[in-house]
Amino acid sequence: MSLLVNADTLTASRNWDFRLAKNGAASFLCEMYNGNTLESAGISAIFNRIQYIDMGHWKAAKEKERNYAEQEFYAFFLGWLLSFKGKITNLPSPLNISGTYFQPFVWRMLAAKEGIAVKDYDSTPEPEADKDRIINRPRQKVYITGDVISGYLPGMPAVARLLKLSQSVQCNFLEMQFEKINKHWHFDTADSFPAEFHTSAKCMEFLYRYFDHAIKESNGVNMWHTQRTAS
Amino acid sequence: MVLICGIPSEPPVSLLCKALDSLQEPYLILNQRLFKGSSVQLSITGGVLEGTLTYNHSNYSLSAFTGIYIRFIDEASLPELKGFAAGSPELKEYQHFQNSLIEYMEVAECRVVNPYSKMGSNNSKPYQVQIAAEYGFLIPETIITNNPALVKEFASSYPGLIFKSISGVRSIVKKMEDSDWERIHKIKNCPVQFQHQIQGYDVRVHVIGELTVATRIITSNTDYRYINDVNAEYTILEPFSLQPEISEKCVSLSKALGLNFSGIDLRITEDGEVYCFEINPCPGYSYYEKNTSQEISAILAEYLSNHNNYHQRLLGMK
Repeated sequence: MSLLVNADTLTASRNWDFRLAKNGAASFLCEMYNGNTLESAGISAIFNRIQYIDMGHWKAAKEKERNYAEQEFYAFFLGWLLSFKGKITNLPSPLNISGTYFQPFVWRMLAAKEGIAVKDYDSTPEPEADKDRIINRPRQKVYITGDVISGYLPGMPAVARLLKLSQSVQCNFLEMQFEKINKHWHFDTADSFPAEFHTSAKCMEFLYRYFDHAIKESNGVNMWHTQRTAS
Repeated sequence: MVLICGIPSEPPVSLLCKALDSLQEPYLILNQRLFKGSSVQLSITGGVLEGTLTYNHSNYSLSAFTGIYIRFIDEASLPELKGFAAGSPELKEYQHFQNSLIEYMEVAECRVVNPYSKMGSNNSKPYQVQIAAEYGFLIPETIITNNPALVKEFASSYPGLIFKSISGVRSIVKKMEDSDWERIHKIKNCPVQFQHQIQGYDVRVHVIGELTVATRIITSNTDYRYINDVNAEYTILEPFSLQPEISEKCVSLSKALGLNFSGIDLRITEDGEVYCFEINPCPGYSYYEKNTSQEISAILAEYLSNHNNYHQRLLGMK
């Protein structure tokens, strides 16, 4: 069975019971208002697309209290998702619930450290935005899903290096963006929250396999559509 | 040369400066309040990083620093930024400067205390303690719930119950009192973290690279940081000799979190069990140093300047 839940549903749940034993062993039970339950023993995989917590039921509260509650839920979801020992893409990071987050400059240097050819960068005065709009070079998105790579084109940096980069930031689901400059592909940036991965057949095939075909039938909706993340 | 980013009068910053003075190691103090006109230029050319800090009308190559210590206060508390609306040029100038510096620290080759991306773990206590458990520490039995009945059931299995925030906000540990039980129904809209109260004494371990400095804390209170002299409450701090294997675990845990400098809060029970409560990624170590005369700032200064003393300490020669 598969279940699609969003941050609204989770934060408004009737009953949350998340426990940590003294050795760190975790268990959880969540009973939602629609009658669905999430239980640690009953979940084998999580496709983690929680990026932002918008708590509808706190809208009437004072701003200070709402902000506090939002931070508490954020902290709670970090701990809860980290406790999950089954398949999960991606594990939460303190920077972002759905995986790590960096600015392009940091991504490029992390990539350069792995021996990947990266696009030049200059922080002054405004990072290259205008220049890029004019030049309009060929771009390509590459998806790393576990140890499978899709969207890869000849002339790109070695696959092993790309996989090493995704491992170094503990992302098993990562989009990398490349730009062709002077006939060579250069790494531009990466995103642990890929938005258009459903356009890559290989990426989708891997995810279906990874989650044992369960998620695509979730609640009768096509959850691969990116609009689901905004609902 | 060491780069120190913060407010010079703030005790952890001023202690570090004094320690570097004692070592006669050069340092640049980047006063957060004097950011006006400062900038950080970063470039990558052919995969090679170059960075320049402009501060107080001088330029510094970022690669010249052996270590960077950052202890910036929240921009909302900076008097120089008071009254500027979001999106104003003044605020943008500051944010661009701060963000560039933070981005550089993420990828700098020198010793950084600490990269910002690694400091976020302190924003979630259940996140942190699970990692602590992976490194061999015990953690308090915990329930996070919005169900009062479950709290009562959890409390009934153990003599003492405390509650504290899940995040790093309003992070004060409190013992459950009768008045708290009277308002327990209020948790239904937002889960609250409750823990069994562990009996024992507190030990704060400062991890500096591979070295540790431990301080024992004896207190009359649930949270030793908040005492009231009027009520005869007390907190006594004294140097503590940590068992080598606990020290090693602390170093491993700090490394696992990507922290070169951390303050780990432990509680040791009568039976010798060691519980980890949390890991502070930007410890206000001056409180401990001033009360015990322990050499935390000295070791931190040696670490950041890559001073020979640090290596001698590692070898047990100092």
